[in-house]
Amino acid sequence: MTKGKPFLLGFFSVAGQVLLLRELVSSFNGDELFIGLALFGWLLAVTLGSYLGGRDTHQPGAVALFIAGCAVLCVLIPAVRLLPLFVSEVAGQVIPFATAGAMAILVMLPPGLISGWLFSVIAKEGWGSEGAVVTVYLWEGAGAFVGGVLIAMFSRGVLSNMALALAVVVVAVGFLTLNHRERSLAATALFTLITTGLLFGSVWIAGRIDSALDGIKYQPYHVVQSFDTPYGRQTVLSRDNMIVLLTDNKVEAVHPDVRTAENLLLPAMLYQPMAREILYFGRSEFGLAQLTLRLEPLHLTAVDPRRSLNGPAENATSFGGGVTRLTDDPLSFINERAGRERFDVIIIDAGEPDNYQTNRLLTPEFFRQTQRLLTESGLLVIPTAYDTDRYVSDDVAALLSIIRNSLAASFDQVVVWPGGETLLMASNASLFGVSTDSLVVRMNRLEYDPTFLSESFLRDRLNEFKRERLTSALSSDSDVNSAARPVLPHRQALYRSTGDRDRLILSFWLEQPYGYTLGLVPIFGLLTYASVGRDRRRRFGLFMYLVAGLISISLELLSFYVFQTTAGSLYSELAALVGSFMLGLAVGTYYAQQLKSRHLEYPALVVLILAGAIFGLTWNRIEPSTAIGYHLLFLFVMALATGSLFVAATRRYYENRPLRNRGIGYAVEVLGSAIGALLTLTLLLPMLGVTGLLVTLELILAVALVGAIITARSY
Amino acid sequence: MERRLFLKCMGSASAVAAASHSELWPELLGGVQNVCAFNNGNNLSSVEARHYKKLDEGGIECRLCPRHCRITDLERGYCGVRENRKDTYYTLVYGRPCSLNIDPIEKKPLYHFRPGTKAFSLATAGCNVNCKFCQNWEISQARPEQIDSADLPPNELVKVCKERSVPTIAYTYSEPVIFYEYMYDIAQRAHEQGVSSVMITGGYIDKEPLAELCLQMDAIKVDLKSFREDYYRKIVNGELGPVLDALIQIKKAGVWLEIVYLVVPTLNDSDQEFTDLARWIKGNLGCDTPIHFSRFHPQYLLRHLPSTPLETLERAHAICKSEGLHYVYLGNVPGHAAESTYCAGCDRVLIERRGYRIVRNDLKVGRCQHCRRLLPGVF
Repeated sequence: MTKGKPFLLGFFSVAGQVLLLRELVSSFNGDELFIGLALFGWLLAVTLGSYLGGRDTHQPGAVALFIAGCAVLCVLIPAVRLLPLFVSEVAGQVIPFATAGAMAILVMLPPGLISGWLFSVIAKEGWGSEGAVVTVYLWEGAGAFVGGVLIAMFSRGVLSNMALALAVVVVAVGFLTLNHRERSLAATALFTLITTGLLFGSVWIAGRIDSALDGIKYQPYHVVQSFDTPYGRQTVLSRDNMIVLLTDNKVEAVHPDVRTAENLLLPAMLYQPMAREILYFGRSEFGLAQLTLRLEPLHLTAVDPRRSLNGPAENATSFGGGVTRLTDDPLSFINERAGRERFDVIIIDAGEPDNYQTNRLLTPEFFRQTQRLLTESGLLVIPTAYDTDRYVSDDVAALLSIIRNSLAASFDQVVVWPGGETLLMASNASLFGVSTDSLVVRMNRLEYDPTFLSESFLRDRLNEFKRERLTSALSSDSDVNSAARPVLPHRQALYRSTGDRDRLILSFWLEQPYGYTLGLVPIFGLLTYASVGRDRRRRFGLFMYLVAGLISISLELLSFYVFQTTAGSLYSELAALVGSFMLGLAVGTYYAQQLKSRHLEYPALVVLILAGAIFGLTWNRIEPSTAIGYHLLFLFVMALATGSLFVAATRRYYENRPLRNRGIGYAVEVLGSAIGALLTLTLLLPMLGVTGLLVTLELILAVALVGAIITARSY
Repeated sequence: MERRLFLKCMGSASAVAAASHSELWPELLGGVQNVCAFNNGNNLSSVEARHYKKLDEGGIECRLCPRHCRITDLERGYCGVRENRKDTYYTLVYGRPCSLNIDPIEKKPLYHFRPGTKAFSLATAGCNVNCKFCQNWEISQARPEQIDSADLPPNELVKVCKERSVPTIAYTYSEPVIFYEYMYDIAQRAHEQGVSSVMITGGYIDKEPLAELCLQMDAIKVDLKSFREDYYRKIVNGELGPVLDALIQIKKAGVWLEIVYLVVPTLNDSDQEFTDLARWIKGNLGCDTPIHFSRFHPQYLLRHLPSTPLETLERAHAICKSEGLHYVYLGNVPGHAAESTYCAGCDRVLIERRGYRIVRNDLKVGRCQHCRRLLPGVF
């Protein structure tokens, strides 16, 4: 067995998985639950594929499977991009969660199946060697590390998803061809040159394909610009002199849009008429910047982590000297500027809290950070898309209560304005005891004649009846959305569920304690199976496989969540974090294989328990500047122990039974990963919080350790 | 032996898990409708509905809207707020409004009905269509037991209006046709007290109930979603034909009528559709029937469609004016010149508007002060 094939398998699997996931999230506006479902689908398919590939029947060759995988990836990327056209009746229609979830699993099925199948087929090439599975796992890990780093590097706005997919295919085919037979140096060099040429060619073709797909997808709009960013796909459209910005196919902003701009800025100006310095977290090009220029001598500092728009979009939304635009993450910006600058008004335009990326900006932890940049009488503004003008539904009341309570945990005063776009404002100064009449007087003093916040609109919006209705609908008993226990994305998912069926599914999963039952069944079932009978020492190896998969992905995802929440954006460091994990896995597997001990599982499990415990005690005490080192170390150590546990599991299960289906152990490990992917961030984190989740994982590890000790004696 | 043991263990674990959540099964196996009955129905009324027919074979047929739902015992119509109980049809939302506000009349929008006054606006849960762009979907697509409602019988409601000196009651937000009985009784009592009634509706209603309703309404504003049948089928889940019939019927009944057309980009914004619409209105309702072109904002199931460009609205306005319609307005565009009312004779501004505010009213006894032309409407 050559090492090239498992290396390529790891590279191709990670690349394919990440690219398809990005495409799915972009096309179906995936939130955390959707991502968990897609990942679950992938891992389940890998489980099935590895089992099928490990059977004692005639199997296709590895090269044929690789070629099939390449073909599938080339077809699926454009197919996913156009899928919304086929599953929705009209353009711009929200696709129900049930449909989107089903699409995600179906899309991940073929490449996942091939990936799992390849693992077993490649492992069989080391037939007769109990170390074959471990060797494949090791080199797969190395390939995944390289693949993860390369994809993360090139996806930062350098290459589009389509270009990356084609490049991955060219690399895979080139690798297979070069690896296939012995060649002379000259032939190898020539072939490498051809492959390089094809790589550049694929980038060029990808651009054409992207344009063609955009043209089909967005007609009758004219596509001005379309590009991938680390935060999603941005598309700029135009029609009838209106510019539209889509982020992952969701309308983020339009220009001109006076209504949104006035709603963002003017209410704050009415409570803080002397405000001069405004800090805005969000895209300012579509109205806010233009409004600021009309409100001299205001100065706006706009911070957004995505790059500026250019070309015709920028020309249409250009602005002048009263606005400073910075490309930076909000948390990073605060850490850099705290103590050096102060602002009168800070506006957090996080968008809807669909995912943890936006959710982190709506926590008391982040609100306290903003106070480092606020003046003493400074004001924080949180605009929302929730409509409370005519009615306050239970879902909206719950969402607004959570945000209001989270603000109240950090600020002395909070006020909520009803309306088509409900607004929350907070301050430590007594700013909000102002009557509507006084607000109207202040508005008339502005050197700007509002369109949507004119007197008649203002009085209608703030009439006593509407304010009382909203106030009485909000509950102070509601949750607080915190970094330790994020609750907004799930309430948001429930609110946005359309139709009875979606509501039923999401309610079943998120509101009732049934979801984790799905995870408990295989865990307890396998534990029971592995703990009884004379052969339980060997069978317990299967449970160790499950624990390895479950714990590793759960801790990995938790680490990603914590890093993103406490230290800033995840995307610029993701490659390093994934790389550290994969490196730890590869190193742990390799060195464990060198050791001849029959009890590797004990130190591996102890290390995992200790790592989890230390993480639980320290995760929220780390300085942002040292967070990257902290998480790199944690992931490396945890993966090192997981790799050792994998070897220990293999030794237990496959000892003296080299003709066993090589796929079973890997399949069970991937099943554990699938359970972790589905449950950890989507269900257990909002339910139990970080600490509760860690305690649960520690319990599972403790059970595994005790079980390993008990079953070891039965041999 | 091993495989059997494995399966046995997994099966036992599954059975234990399932048994621990056995209360879920009836909920899962029952119909979606039953699952959605989240509370014990304390919010529901039991007033017999009007406009239905008992069927010989059992069950009833609702005759309120053109759906003509055929409903067996304990089932509800499409609207979700009318239920058959032993072949007697009941409205579940009588006296149960879920939304109450006092709005400017311009917000409805009604521009030729008592400009500058207020309207006591109410709605219940439910609707007999399902527009993908509905602004009030949280109540229109909800069952009455799923949302909080007040207990406000017609007499009480009229009394509140009188106490607050609000001259008009508006039945609005969701779809007032589905709370027909409640609306009718309020309107009847309101007239006795000198309070007007206006209905803001999609116009999807049968002839007979509409004829009775027209006797109680002082003005009706109809949301004409499109001038294409396939749009009504795909986007609204309704029918265009009955709505057009309703418009003609309202006009003939002498009730003041205004039309709103929500322009949804790429779906109902073609020049041809605007032209066909304008010609139909002129030919069937008269060129004095006001029409408002309103701007779409992403809502409900069409959250990924951008809002309507101003240029599209202005194009619709220009087409209708060129086809001879006298009173064409643009909605959700405050500050635009097309918010104001102009004399059809001399083209001077009669009522200048800025948002909900009347900046200037140059009417004198309902006529233009310059050319003495009568401005149609209720003033």
